[in-house]
Amino acid sequence: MNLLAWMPFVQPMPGAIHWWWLLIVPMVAGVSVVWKAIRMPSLERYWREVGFMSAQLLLGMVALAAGLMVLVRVVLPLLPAD
Amino acid sequence: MSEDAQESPLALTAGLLGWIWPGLGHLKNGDGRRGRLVMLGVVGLFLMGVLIGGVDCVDRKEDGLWFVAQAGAGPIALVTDAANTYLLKGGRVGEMLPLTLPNGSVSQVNSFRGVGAVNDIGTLFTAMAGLMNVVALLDAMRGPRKAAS
Repeated sequence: MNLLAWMPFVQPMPGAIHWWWLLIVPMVAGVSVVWKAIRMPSLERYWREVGFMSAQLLLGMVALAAGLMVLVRVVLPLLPAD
Repeated sequence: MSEDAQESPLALTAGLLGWIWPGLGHLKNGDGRRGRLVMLGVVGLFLMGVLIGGVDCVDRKEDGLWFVAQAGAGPIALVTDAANTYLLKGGRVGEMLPLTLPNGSVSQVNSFRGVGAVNDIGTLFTAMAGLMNVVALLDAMRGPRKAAS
């Protein structure tokens, strides 16, 4: 689909199918913004805490994905078929 | 839990306001900055989801369980579902295409409907917005915060 023909908020975003995995970044940022706004007793150093939590979530997801990839591509093929 | 927190009644009005529009509960409690940040996070997540997946990612009838989570974001989820029904299912935008179902019957589907990972991500963003708003409104229902020591 041509980007000029795109109707934002009505049609799905064109081309996002190719980089959907990058959308984890705004998602963890959004979750961190809300969570830290609720949980911090004082909002001093708020954005630093948001950045730290976003990085933690992102690294956790990357580690989980890497672990699952090793399990599926390395460990499981080593198991006997029968 | 402190003794004061046990004795104070739940601020139901703040909870209701927090559901009607994310962050309003905290604003009512006099916690303006916290309210604005909740608004930024929840509304931002929801709009991002609809931007990615289109209005089709909020569908009360076809994705009922997801809608339970999305409805936590408040009336914006209901409005998005109504827009989906009016615009896409009503055929007011896009093109209605024939779709043959596995049982052989023929149905119609809008050409603007989201499919695959894009639809999944849009649905996930909007559901996360709803769930985070439920957490925020439960926090608002605890009433005004005491000043941090």
